[in-house]
Amino acid sequence: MSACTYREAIREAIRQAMLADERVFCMGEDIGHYGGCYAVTLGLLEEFGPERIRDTPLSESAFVGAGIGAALGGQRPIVELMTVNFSLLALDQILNNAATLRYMSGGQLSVPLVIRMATGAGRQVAAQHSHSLEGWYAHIPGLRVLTPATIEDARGMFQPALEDPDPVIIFEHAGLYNEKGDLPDDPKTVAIEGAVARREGQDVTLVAYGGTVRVALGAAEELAAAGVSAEVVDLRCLRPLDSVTVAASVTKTHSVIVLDEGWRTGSVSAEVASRVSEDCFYDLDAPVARSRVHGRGPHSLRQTSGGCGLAPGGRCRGRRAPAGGLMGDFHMPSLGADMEVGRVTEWLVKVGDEVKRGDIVADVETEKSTIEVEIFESGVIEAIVVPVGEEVPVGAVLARVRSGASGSAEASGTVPAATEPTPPTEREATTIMASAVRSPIVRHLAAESGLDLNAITGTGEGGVITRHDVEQAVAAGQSRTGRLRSSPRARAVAAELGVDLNTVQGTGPRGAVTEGDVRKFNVPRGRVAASSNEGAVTAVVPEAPASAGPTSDATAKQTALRRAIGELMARSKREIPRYYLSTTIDMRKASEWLEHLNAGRSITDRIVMPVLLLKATARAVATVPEMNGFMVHGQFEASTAVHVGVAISLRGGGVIAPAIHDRAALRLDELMVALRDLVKRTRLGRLRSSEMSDPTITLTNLGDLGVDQVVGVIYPPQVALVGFGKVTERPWAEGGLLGARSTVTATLAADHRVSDGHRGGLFLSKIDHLLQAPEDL
Amino acid sequence: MTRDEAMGIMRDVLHQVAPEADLEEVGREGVMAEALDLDSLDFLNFMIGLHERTGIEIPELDYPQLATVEGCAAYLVAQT
Repeated sequence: MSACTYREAIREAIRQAMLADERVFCMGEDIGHYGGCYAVTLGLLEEFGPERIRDTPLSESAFVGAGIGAALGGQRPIVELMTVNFSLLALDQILNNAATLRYMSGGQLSVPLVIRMATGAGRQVAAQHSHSLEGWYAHIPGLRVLTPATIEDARGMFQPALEDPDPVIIFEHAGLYNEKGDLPDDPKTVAIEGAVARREGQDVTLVAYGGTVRVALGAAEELAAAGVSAEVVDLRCLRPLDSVTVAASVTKTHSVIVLDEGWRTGSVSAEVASRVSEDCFYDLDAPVARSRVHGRGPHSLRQTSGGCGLAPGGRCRGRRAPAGGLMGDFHMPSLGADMEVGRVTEWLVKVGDEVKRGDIVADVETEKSTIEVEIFESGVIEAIVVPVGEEVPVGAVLARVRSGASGSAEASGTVPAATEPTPPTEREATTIMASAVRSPIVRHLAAESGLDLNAITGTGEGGVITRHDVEQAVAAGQSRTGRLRSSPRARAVAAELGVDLNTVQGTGPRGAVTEGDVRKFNVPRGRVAASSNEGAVTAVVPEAPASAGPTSDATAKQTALRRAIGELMARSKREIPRYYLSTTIDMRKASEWLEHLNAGRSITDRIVMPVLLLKATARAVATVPEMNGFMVHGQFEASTAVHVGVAISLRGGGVIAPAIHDRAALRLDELMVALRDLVKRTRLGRLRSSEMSDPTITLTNLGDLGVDQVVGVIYPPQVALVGFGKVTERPWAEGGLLGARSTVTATLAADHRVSDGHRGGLFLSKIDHLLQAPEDL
Repeated sequence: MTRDEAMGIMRDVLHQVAPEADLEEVGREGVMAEALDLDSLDFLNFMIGLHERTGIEIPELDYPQLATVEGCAAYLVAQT
């Protein structure tokens, strides 16, 4: 065994090939006297002379063409291109000659050429040296595309590549050249086809190649500490692509994340994701996930995780089931599509405190506002990971929560950290839901499901009916309407076990039923215990910048706020093919009715016109589902609940759109109280996280300022926005007569990918219709 | 109630409704909603706050009388 670098391994492979076969020679820019721009061929000129180590002019097309000619003439050329970026100058030779000649000649000509080039980012040598275009070459039939990720592969794949009668492209990731390792004195050759599992695992497959393999292995190591067993598959060869090995792994783990430094659209990761969907659809328990590259170009990549911008561990959030240890983590929530980071300004709990689902545990400051953040797990606060004042990205672990009643995990002593999480005990379920006692949600749920509350036995304290009771009753008595969200794997397992999916509570993304949910459901009710969460992933958080004086702080905040709004609105304008409609609504009845109502009421009970408009909108949208929901990965997901976000302007500039939940079901008085409260809390910076995260449609009302009509910008990922102008007297013609009448102009901006003008018009006319009978609202 | 007391109550209530708003900036004849960027719900919360502190029932039709700083203070003084 001897120690060497990735660079030296390739050099040695070239050297041995040249010693063994005098037809082998090297060509490229600066490979001779300079030793190669990445120093791979350093010293070879001295050993083999200028006939076999040939410096070429800066003319990629010419010397690749010369290499093709030499190969056709019986030589065995090794052509070096500095980086994949410059290979584009030779693309015509590579695609139209090297890759095509065998086909064009009916098999009579072969081009035994090896082209080596550096690829990938991470060395801060700017965009024109850092692209990852290997996916383009993998697209071309007639080429073999290799991406050695290890020293053994770099060394062992070289000779077979030279022996291949057809052109072979070898991508050497620039970040790997200095990697050190041991090579046996008599290294084995490595087959130039087929993927390989670099690490065995059970819970999730990480697919990587070239420079991302070590990132994947690092991520797997961190995940292991968190109790998630990740398998790492190294593709090794991008063409031909070994989808069989990938499929075998996914069939075992049921979920997959593909790492790729290349641009997302049309990338290697896209191809892998597509094949996984084709080959393993019924084994998938979660959507295929792909790593993303930050920024516009690879030169701007952050260096935190080996250059590909992937945060190990953080990407597994979608798959909660196997992550026993992650279950109790409390993350920085995403409080709107425009939020990337947040700062904890206050912890309202301390280590050892018992918390219940729905408790407010921290105040978080975003670029827009201060939000009260609720917790979604019941348990005991075990550790506070992020101290007050630190800014962390969305998804970072803020605190760790030990699930279940304190001490019960130890007492039952049956559940190790990494086992499947189990359903809460009856007692826990009651505790969790006790906070919802007598809440309007119970009435709404019951009304929605057509249940008689008198027929339900309450299990809450003092026998009151909890939300859990209603849900149980629904599950027991009635089938749900609409399509149930479930993973393909969950459906397959449910069919195998004879479980009715309609009866299973989903814990996956957006409530999808996962395999874990089905298996959990199928466990006899006796075998339940709390899960613990030892060894959770700790987020690496950047140091918060020292705060400057109050004025510059406010200015910086204002700038950040404008940027956040700007980015979101630009995304809306860029991505959403929208249409606009507007209609003028007769408000005479509504105005008179409201005036009459308020005249008889004490000031605290009065209702303002915006509440009527809000209520009408909420009722109307419930009947036109294409307006209510989210666009997720290009697919519309209608929401069954109606959470209308209300655009509220922030004093000093900016706008924020928190939601009141289940608005369609609230009575006007309740809605008034809720809206007043919401505006007040917005002003005081006391919004709650749940209000920020899930509005399903937004309403904006600029009537107070005398604005006639609002043509608004849709908040992604929502698909519609309703605007109201001023309610005021305007000329109104009816039956050939002109008179003055109180009116308002309602506008709709809606997403054409989801609905057409006809449905939009229907929605507006429904609002109109509802406002003509204000007493029924 | 004296005018100073009324102004004190207005200042307190305004602080709850709109913490960053400053009554002193408005001027005696200034319209509060415009000068302080209050929307209709802020203004309603302001009215409710005044009601809770003073017990005065303020009919909706009287709202315009309370629009300016001076008008609001005078209304409160007159009603007690």
